[in-house]
Amino acid sequence: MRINTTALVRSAVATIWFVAVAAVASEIYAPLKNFFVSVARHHWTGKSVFAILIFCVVYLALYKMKESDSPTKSIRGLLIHTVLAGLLIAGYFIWHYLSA
Amino acid sequence: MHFLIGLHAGFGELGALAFLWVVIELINPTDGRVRRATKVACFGVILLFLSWITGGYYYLTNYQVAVKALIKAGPYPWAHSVITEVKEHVFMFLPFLAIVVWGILKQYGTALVEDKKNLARSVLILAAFIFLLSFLIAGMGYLISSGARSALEQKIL
Repeated sequence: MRINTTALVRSAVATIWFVAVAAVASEIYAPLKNFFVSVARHHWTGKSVFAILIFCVVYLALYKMKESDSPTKSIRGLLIHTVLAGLLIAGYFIWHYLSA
Repeated sequence: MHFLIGLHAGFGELGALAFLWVVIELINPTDGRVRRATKVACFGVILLFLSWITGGYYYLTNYQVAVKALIKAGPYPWAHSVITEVKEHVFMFLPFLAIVVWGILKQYGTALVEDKKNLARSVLILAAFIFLLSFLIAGMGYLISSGARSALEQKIL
């Protein structure tokens, strides 16, 4: 089975940003949190289900794309996106706690 | 201490160690080491998903029902409001990063030994990042447990 590693990296980036944005947005906008609850009884489970779905759907959508000439650069980008998304989540919840 | 916490932490730490193993195999890769790293990375992916499922089950049953309120009423409410909130979301990055490591090892295989040395180095760095992030998250678990223990001590003493 051929694995398209460029599609894999891009689907990981999409999933990571989905998790980060959903984490913050569902705290700010209650209807979004309720939507995740309606999907899987708890907002965290709803986000988990969507994270897996997004990873699979983006990978399948990009599966036939041309492999990147520079997979090394793609991995570096993935690391940067992961750190930034993590900082967004941590920054929001620290700010939210301190401002409460 | 609930047995699900032990399972969650155990799967997570074994998953983290699997990626440390991948790092060690890729420091000076040979055909055999890359093949072994691919199998270990696959095992690491499975362990991180198991940690996700067991941790999630505990979080939705015991934690939400009893522990969350206990921590929030205790001396370190930030253990829930900041640490749990960050941990429960950042943890979700790990299985997907792990799949990327496994996928690249599986796709390029022994080409990483000669033709794609820079890629092997990048995969090594990503595996090391997974290892470090996993243990950072384990440290968050310690802080959450300490928040709950301190809240109980405050009630008893």
